[in-house]
Amino acid sequence: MADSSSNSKDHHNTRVYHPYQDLNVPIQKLYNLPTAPEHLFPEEAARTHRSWGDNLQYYTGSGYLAGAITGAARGTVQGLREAESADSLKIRLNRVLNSGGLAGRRLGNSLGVVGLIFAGLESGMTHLRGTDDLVNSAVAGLGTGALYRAAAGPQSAAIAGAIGGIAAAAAVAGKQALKRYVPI
Amino acid sequence: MSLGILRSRAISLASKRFLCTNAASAPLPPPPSAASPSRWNFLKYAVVGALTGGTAFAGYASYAYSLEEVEEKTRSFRESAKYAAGDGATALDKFQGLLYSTAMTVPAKAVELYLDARRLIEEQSYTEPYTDKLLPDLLPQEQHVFTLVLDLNETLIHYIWTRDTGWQTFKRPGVDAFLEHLAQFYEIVVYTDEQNMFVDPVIERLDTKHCIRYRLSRPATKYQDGKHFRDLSKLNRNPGKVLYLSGHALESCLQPENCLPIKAWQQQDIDDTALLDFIPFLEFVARSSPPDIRPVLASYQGCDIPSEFIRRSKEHQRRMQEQKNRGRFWK
Repeated sequence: MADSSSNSKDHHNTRVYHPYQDLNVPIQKLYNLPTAPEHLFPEEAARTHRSWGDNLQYYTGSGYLAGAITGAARGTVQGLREAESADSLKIRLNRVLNSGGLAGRRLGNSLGVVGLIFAGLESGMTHLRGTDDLVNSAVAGLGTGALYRAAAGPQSAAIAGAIGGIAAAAAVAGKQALKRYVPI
Repeated sequence: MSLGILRSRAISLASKRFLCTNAASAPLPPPPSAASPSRWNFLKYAVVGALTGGTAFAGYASYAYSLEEVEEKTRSFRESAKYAAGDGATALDKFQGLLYSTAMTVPAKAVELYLDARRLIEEQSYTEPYTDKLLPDLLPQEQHVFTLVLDLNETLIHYIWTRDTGWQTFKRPGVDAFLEHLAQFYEIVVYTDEQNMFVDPVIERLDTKHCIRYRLSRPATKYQDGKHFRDLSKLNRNPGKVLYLSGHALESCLQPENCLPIKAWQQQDIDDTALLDFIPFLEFVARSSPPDIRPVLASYQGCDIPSEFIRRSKEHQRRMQEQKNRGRFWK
């Protein structure tokens, strides 16, 4: 019964095998063996992209981390530049830490929010359109920019949306080019 | 440790000297109280450092050495802390011995405390299967049935994690036919060292026809020498009628005389036929039903069992054919 059902399912992907073939006995049972690795959980194999939860964590976390590091570095340089010759080491260190921490947190929060909005919009687009391609990322980038700058007025929102869409499309195209031309 | 003791003694001596000086000249103003916080700071850091070092060393000892090794290495140290003065010892030797014994008492007690704690933890019931009867009793009409114990990873399935695809679980070629065919002759038990939460969904997906009667996972194994062993003597079955089939059979079982080693399988080996190759041998065992399987497996020791079985079957066929020919010649 199992052999016939598996036979009907994937007859063209199997080969026939007979464990008694070295003994000259009449064929009692033939077994269909798969010609490719067979998944125990087909939904594992059918997964082609990150789930929306993974997407959310990935974009938000990497955005916040990139922003925090960049902002902290910029704030540190700014704090060092503002140092006066009369300052003691303790005061100089305090200024550098304050400046770095403040700028890092501010930029980290901004990029984290951008990542959050982008992940949500991209996952929504993937769910609505049923496919995962460049258009999803570009539209999500456009929506992210517009939404992020919505409070600053329609003109600013339009410009930010255009920048976001172009940036997202460039990022996806760059990633594909990287995968194709860079031997990793 | 002795250096710390010496430093403490020097500090106390300095303090005494200061008090004497103060008593000698009364009109001097009272001294500032800067010495006290310095002393307490030093003691605090010394205690914290000692605790940290002790904890780190205990962690490393737990990782690198077994209980018996630690006990053996520290026996001489712990015995040296108990000083017994000899008869011919001088007063100075007695004093030195007493000092050394007093100084070494604290670390010796610490080591003994560590050994007691580790023995208490490691010799709990977690190392043993959760019961002496892992399977229920056989039915009376099934007393002749053999029990086939199967491993899971690299025997029936193989799972792998890659950065591109995450977790993937693969079925060994022929596993469905293998289980379905041998369920007619055997009581099939899966006995693995994985956790329950991994075993249950895998078996439910792997065994859609309920050929596997029982599932035993990590709590049913015996933890010994840092590994989880299968203990076939706890299966509540006649040990002469138990077969254990695994890709790592001889190194994961406490009864190697019941083991059927099979080639360990990974998903890139798509031409593997080892499971189906075992069907002739296992079917023959079930049909001929020897009273004790262990001598049979001992005769196959060191061989690839399916190919050796095929070779012996050919030999048997050839001998039967010769006898038949000889009979015809005489007639």
